[in-house]
Amino acid sequence: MIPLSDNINRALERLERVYFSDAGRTVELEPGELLIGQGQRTRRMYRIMEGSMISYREEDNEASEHMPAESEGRRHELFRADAGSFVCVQSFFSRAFRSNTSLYALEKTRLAYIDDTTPIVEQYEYGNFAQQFLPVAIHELAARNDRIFGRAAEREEAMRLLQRSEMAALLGQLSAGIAHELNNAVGVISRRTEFMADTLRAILEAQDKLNAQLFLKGYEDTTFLSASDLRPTVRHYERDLGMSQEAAKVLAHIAPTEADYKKLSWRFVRNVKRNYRIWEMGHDLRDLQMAANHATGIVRAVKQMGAPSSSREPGVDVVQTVKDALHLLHNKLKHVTLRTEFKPLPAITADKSELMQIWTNIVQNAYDALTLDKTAEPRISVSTGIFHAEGVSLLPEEYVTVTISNNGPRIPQEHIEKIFQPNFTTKKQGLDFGLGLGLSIVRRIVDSYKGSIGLTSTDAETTFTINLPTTKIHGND
Amino acid sequence: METINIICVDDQQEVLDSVMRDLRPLTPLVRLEEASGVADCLKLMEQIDEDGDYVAIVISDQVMPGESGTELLGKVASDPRFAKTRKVLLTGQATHADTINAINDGQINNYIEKPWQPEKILAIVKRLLTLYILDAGIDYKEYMPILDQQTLFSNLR
Repeated sequence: MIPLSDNINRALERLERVYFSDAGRTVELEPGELLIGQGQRTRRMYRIMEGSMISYREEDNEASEHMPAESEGRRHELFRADAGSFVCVQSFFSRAFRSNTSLYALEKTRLAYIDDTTPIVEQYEYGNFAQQFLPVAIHELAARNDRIFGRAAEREEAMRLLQRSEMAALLGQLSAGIAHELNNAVGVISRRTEFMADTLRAILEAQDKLNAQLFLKGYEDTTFLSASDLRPTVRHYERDLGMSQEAAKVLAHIAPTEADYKKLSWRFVRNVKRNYRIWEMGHDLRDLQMAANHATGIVRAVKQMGAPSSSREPGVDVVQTVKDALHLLHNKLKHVTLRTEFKPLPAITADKSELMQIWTNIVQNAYDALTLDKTAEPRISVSTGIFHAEGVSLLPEEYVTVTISNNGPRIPQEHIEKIFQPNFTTKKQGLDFGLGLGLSIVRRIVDSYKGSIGLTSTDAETTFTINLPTTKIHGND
Repeated sequence: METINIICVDDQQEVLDSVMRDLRPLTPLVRLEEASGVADCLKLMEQIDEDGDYVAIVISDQVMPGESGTELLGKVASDPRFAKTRKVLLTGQATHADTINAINDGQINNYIEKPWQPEKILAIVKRLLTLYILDAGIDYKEYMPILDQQTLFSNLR
């Protein structure tokens, strides 16, 4: 309904009563039937009494008897008009008497009309024809404005969405390209490091057993002791063994406790004092290898994220996609205790990048919740498992389950209801780039796999559970 | 003889290892210490002070679990025992606001971006060490081989 003043609405009601109630001047149309084709002549102006009409602009200038199928020719919908609206207004008032659009009935429609021979009623009281019909012109003008504004808003929204999806696609391509280049570089680093370590070890082995041993202890060091843990031991070795700080540090890595130290031979310890650099060299190669592995993981993950959209393939290892997602968020997660428990899962048919979107979004959200809340000892736990839904024959029976929980604040009940809706957020600030596309995307993806999402939140823990049907039984194969 | 300490603070052991290696030419005339976080660094400084030794320079990462590098350097700056201690921020991901805070609150003497060049960090540390030794009134002759000659001479003149 076009908003108009009461005066005009009253005038329109009078016009309807006086001019558009003549049973002799009505037309009835079946759904899809043409009222008038573009370019055809008509001396009438219609008012829609019941039903609705659609107007098309046709490029080939010829209207067919019936509404053509979408694919036929090039035509653009101009507007739709329902009861109370007027059509052929311009052709009538301009005295051009030619319709510039094609008008079809959308449903069973009844129209009343006047033409240029219709006599003027109550001229003395209501003025001449133009004066009487001014409200129709105003109504038409208002309707057209309304359409144009609506169209402009739609167009802007469409442009915005287009721009966003183009950006996303560009970003995807870009990151896939970078990932590819980096992959080769990281491959060289990783492979050559291994090669160098093997060679060095062989050379040392042939020259000096103690040095070979020292090298290997550095290369295979698995003690992850912090500087503060090591410091007292380092000082102790410095003083008691008359070692340099550097050598003592190496010895502290090899023998962090008194018991470890007692197992070492006197000759080995003496060699540490002299040749601690050989341990460092082994340790450097170990660090290189670890850094290369980390980089490989990130490159892999970025490649997955940037992969062109939804190509679902069989044989997808869900656990691997979870690991990839965690790799991608590694840098953020280092401030959070991460607990993982991965049970091997049956392969499913899926798009890896979609699965990764699910995991990264949920983990990212968990991280944001913990950070915003400044939770003490923040913790995120991720586990995988298999879930059987028994006795519900309508639903798939076997699911792979990924559970992601955190010890952040409780999600209020009113938020739980809205959390999966698009545009719902409690994060008013901050600029999060790329990954955090939100839980509405998670929902959409999970739905498309015929899966389900569970969410429980208590003061102690918030848990998201994602269930996806497996290949064996249903759909996803 | 007194011990002069240089402390490097980072939550990533690989980074600490690298800085330690780059600064190794300064040993054994000065002692290089590493700390895995803000609390650990403050504890270590307390210990050094109790032993009657010096903390010449603190080189800190910005983004760490718990308190940030800027917060650490701010605390060091406001502690009269460490008034002469030089402060360096070594970081790859400080925001604009972090940087402003580092200058205003942390009163840093230098800002080094990751990844760094070994010669550059060594040169910066030598220069700051020279200034510290002069400032603290320590006999600089003992440390001649690792001091920045230019800084030394321009300050002695």
